[in-house]
Amino acid sequence: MKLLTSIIAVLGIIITIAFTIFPIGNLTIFPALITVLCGIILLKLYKKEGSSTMFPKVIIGLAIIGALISSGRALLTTDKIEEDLKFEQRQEKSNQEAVDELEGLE
Amino acid sequence: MPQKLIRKVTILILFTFYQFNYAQGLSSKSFKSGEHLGYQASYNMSGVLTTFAEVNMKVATVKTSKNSYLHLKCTANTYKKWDDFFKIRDLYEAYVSPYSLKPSLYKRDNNENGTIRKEKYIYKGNNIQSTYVRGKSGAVKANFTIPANTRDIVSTIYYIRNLPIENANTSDQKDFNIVFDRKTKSATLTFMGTETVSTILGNKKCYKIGVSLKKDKLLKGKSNNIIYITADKNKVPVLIKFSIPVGSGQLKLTKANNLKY
Repeated sequence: MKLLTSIIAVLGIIITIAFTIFPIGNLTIFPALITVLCGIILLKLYKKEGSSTMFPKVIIGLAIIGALISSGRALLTTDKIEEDLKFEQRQEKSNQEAVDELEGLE
Repeated sequence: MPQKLIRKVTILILFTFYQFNYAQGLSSKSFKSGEHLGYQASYNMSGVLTTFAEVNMKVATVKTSKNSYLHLKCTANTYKKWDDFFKIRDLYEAYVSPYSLKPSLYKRDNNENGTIRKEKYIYKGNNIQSTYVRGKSGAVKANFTIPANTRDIVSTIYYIRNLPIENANTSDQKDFNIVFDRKTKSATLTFMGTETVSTILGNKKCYKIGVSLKKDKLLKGKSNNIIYITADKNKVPVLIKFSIPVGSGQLKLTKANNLKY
């Protein structure tokens, strides 16, 4: 039970951190929630055993921080595209070339 | 004298009739030059839609010394937040006749995270003169034959908008050909009835059209790939749901400027 919960918690925190780095938005909530639940179970088990509760506390803390960062970023940042001068120039060049091509077809 | 008058009147009538038909050809279109449609592209990740790119579709008039063409341009840009991980700057263009929407030139210029892919098709009847560039290798030229009425992906989208969908019955199908990646693919459109969709234009009654490619893993199954087109004269694609081998997603209309009606 303890080993299985620990494995799930570790996997959960890895996914939470990965999702926090990538701009996936609210999706981070799911692995973070699973990690927190596993962390709480582990915390109770560790307390029952009387051993150090450092591991579950760190896991819970990291999951909460990850979820907060992702949610905050999802709320504060808007979906915007960067002004790309190179891409605009590519489009203009392509259009000019196309006009020349069409002239050649006539 | 009366003969001259009759001739003049006949010419005038014929000219008026010609002008009327000409104008009919133009007015039957569901879009006009200057139209700009913007979409937000989302990808389905474990049931949660994650926005990743903006797609813009613009119509413009391009004039050469002898002719006039409609320039149908489609661009895809990843959002700023995704650019550091996977940057997409794709350009798809078609130059079509403003009357028949028959394509004369198709161009594709993709830059997906540094991977360059360019394609150019010059339509010559049932033949295509193609030029293809992938990565740093030089241009590969090839000629190939296409079945009649085969169109590229961009002109197909606008062609679908001009189909008389209002006359279709549920389950009606229409087959057509698309040329993509120098291959002709057979596709089927299935009219799946109407549905009200919440859009930036308000709650709109939309035609629900299923799209599937025959004998192809891409866009398999008519119910997985659906285009919702407004059931009005503009026939604006407001929502496009797609399912490809690597996942599913959708394109949702976020901008609609210069609509014809």
